[in-house]
This record gives sequence, structure tokens and C-alpha cells, in this order.
Amino acid sequence: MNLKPGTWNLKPLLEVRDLTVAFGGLKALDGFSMSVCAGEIHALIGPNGSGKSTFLNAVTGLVAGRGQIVFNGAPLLGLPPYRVFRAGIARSFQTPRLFPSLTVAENTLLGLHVECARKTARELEQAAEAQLARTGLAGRGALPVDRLTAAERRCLEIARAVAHSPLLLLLDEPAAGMSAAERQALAALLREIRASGTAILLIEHDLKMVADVADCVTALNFGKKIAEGAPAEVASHPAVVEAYLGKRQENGTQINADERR
Amino acid sequence: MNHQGTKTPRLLLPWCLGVLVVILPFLVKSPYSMHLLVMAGIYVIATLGLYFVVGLCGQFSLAQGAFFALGAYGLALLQQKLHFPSVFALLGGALLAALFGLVVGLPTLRLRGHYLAMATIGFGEIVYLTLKNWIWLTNGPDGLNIRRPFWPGSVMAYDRIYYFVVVAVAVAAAVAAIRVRRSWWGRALLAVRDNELAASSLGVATTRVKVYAFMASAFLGGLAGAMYAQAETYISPDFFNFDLSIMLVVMLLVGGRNSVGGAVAGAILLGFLPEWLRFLKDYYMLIFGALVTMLMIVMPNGLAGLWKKAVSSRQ
Repeated sequence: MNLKPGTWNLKPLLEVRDLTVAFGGLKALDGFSMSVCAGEIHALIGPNGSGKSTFLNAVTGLVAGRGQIVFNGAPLLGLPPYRVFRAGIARSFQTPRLFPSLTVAENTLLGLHVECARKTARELEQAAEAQLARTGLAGRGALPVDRLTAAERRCLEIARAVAHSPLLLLLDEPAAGMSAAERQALAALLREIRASGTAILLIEHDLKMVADVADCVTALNFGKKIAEGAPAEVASHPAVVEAYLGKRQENGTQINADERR
Repeated sequence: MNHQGTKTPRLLLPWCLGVLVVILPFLVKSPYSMHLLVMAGIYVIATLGLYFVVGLCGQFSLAQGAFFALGAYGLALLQQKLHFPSVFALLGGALLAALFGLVVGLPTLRLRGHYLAMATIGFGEIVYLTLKNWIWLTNGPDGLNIRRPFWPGSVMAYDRIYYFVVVAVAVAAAVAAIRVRRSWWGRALLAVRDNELAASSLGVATTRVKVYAFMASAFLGGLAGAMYAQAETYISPDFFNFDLSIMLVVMLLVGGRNSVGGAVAGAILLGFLPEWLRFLKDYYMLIFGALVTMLMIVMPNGLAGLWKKAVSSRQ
């Protein structure tokens, strides 16, 4: 892949070809291919156990896989996690992985770790404060993380991940456990992050939210791609309805219960 | 008004402690007590070293006694075989320990928890047995005599002056530890301790920051060992056995592994405790062990945790 200046945004930022990840005999991902373009919010949907989180882990170097992953023109597969981050990919986790020994501000500063050598402590603190303000956590910097609500913790994890302005942000169910109002704030934040030049790959169960923010959707089941396209297109795709939406409708009442709370 | 009330004792306490540390060597009468004071300071330096790897980094290392030994023997051999002046031999001993920290840290810091503890025990045993059996180099169990860097005329006066050297180094080490905790490195170490996966996903080269911590830990352990050699003027392998590593870890845990002040307090307390419990004779280890166990149950965050609780409950 040879990227010429000026054409890069037409080419995929992240290109995955024939990715296979096996745990023993089980293939969590089976020849999976997809790409994410610069400047888009790309949703990855699929039932539980379909391989979404495994895909994120393979991209970020947490699990080994076979196949090809090219990011921004360079091969990615086999790099350790910290090199993946330095290449421009940041992520969140399905259950937020914050650092309880550190304050909210210090957690955010960890996202600026790779800039520590180049910036003064004051510049870093200001940058961290700006990220907290951006994610709705202004003034919370001095708190220990266990004083934050579940939704605030997810926001903090995003603040930490975007502090270094990654080219691509991978989010693993960021809206889980959030109220309707919190989801709306999150959707606005995701759009703002996209506008700032960071592409987003979003794993999300809430299809309303996917339809709301995503430019493109890829559906996954049993480690294989079953559909891809615009949100409405994918949502009505027969294979997706069978594998995924049928199940969600049963759970529809649960979403309402969440919203009432 | 209330604000001032809490602020005054906060400033008062360090001053009182500082004055105490300065006048203490002039209050003690016997050379033996003077020597104990020097040893307490040396333990503080070694325990501050452990603070980096066990406290900040959360890696359980039982090799601090070995680094202590490497510092002591490094100083002795640099002086005797290569005729280094005392100050350079002291630094050389500490750097030798740090070098071993790098060599041991690179492969073992990929291990976690019990495995790392076991690997560091193994390293400690190797060092101990080497000191005992490489008679051509270390003079084996007979030990080595160490030249004093200066001689003011009496052992008491020597120890009194050396005490201030130890205190100066210990204060510098404590200040360095506090500064590291507040730096990007300390933040990264705590992040690795809390969640290594998340830290590496944020661009932290986790093995590298851990190896640096291990080297800093070994450096201070080695420095303490080299100072021990100069204070004691004689070293033999038996002092650097496994018990020493255990003792240093216990000092940190009793003091509170999350705080620099805790490391200092634990080292001083456990440095003197054996003397206070001396009247127990044969029952000493039993009572000592029970006491330490009880302390850990009652205050899992050590003396520092207790202090923090007391301060916050008063406000």
C-alpha cells in the first residue's frame, strides 16, 4: 500500500485482511476483513461472543492473530500494545480500566505519557484539564477515580484515550450502563472527536445510538463478517436481523428499564 | 482560623524530627547505640530502594538483600583489587548493584506475582552462595576487612560522623523518591501496578519502566550495602542471607508501601525493635513474628496508613 499525500483520506486508515484469532480450537475471528476510513465513525455490531472485543484486542496487540493489519500505511500485527498506541491507535475497555491509585487528573495525564519528554509539567496539566473539560469532567481532576459515577468513569477513559490526539479511537461499548441523557452527551462527544480529526471504531449494542452517530456499520457473527454498509442498510439485512436484531427485540424491555432509571 | 490550627503542627513536626535527628548522636553514650543509629539510617536507604519496586511498581522483590551484598562486596573489591578511593568505591558498589538490577530485571520482570518473588529469591541465593564459595575473590566465609574512609581517632567519633553521612544520603534518597512519585515516571509505575494492560495501551513501555524501577531499587540497595561495609569495617556472606531480604520487605510493609514516609518509619522502627525485644532472648523471633503479623492485620497500609487515618479523622 503506497499512500501519496493528498489522497490518504480516500484510502482506509485501518485495513484488516483475513484476520484469524484462535483460542485453542475455537476461532474467535475467522478470516475477518474490514477497514476504517479517516474521519468516520464506524460501528462494529454483533451478538455477545461474536468476536468484537477480540477484534479490538488483536488490533491493539493484546492477543496474537494471523492475517494482515495495516494502519496508516504500516503493518501493525505483532506490535506490542505500547507501540500500537504510539502508531496512533488509542482504545477504551469494555469494563473501564482506570488507575485507582491515581487521581482523575493523573489518569488523564497517563494518556499524555508519550508527550512527557517534550512538554513541561504545567503544559501537561493544562492539556489534561482541557481533556477533562472536553469530556464533561471539568473540576473533577483532584478526585480519586472511585468517587466518579459509572458514566463518568467511561468519560474519563475516553478523555485519557484521546488526550494524545490519536488517529483512530477504538471504543468498546462506551454507552453500556448509561442513562438516555448520558448517551446523548456521549454521542455529541463522539461527533466532536470525529470533527477533531480522530476516526472512531465503535463497538455498541444500542442500535439507536449506532444509527444516530455511525457513518458506516459492520456486523459480525461467529468471527465472520455478515453485513456491511450504511446503518439503516445493515439493520435491515436479513442475516443481521436473524443473528442480532431478533435477540435485541427480546431485550428491548431491558433498555427501557435502563432509561427509566 | 481552623485552617491555621491544622497548618502549624504540619510544619512543626518535620522541624522537630529534623532537630531530633541532628541532636540524637550527641545524646547517646555508648558506641553500640551509636552504631545502631547508623544501621537504622542504612536500613532507611535500602528500604527506600524497595519503595520503588514494591511500592510504586507493585512487584514483589526479595532480592534487596542480594543488592545490599553486591554493594558491600563491590566497594570492598574495588578498594582492595583496583585501589579505588573510598568515595568512588562507594558509588562503584552501588552502580554494580544497579547493573545487576538491569541484568536480573530484564528477564524476571516479565514474570508476575509469586513467580517474580521466586525468581528474586533464586537470585539472592546465587549471590549468597557465590560470596561464600568464590574464595579466590571474596575470601569466602572468612569475610573481608574494609578500610575506613577517614579516621577521627575513636570508633565513637567515626560512627558519629558517618551517621551524618548516612542521614544526608537517606534524606537525598527520600527527596528523590518523593520527586519520582510526582513525576511522569512515578505515575507510569503506579499505572503499571494498577493495570498493566491499560498502561501499555496508553503507550507506556511497561517492561522498561519496571526495569528502571528495579535498577533504582538495586542502586539504593547497593549504596546502603556499601555504606554498611564502611560503617561495619568488616563484611562476611552470613549477614547477606535471605533473612536480610525478608527484613527489608517487612520494613517497607510495616511502614506502608504506598508512602515514602512509611518506608522511612518502618525501617527505623524495625531497625530498633530487635534491641527493644532483646530481653526476650530465645522467644525473640516468636514475639517479633507475631508482632509483625498483628501489625499487618490491624493496619494493612502500615504506619503511614495509620497516620493518614489519624490526620483525616482530626479534620
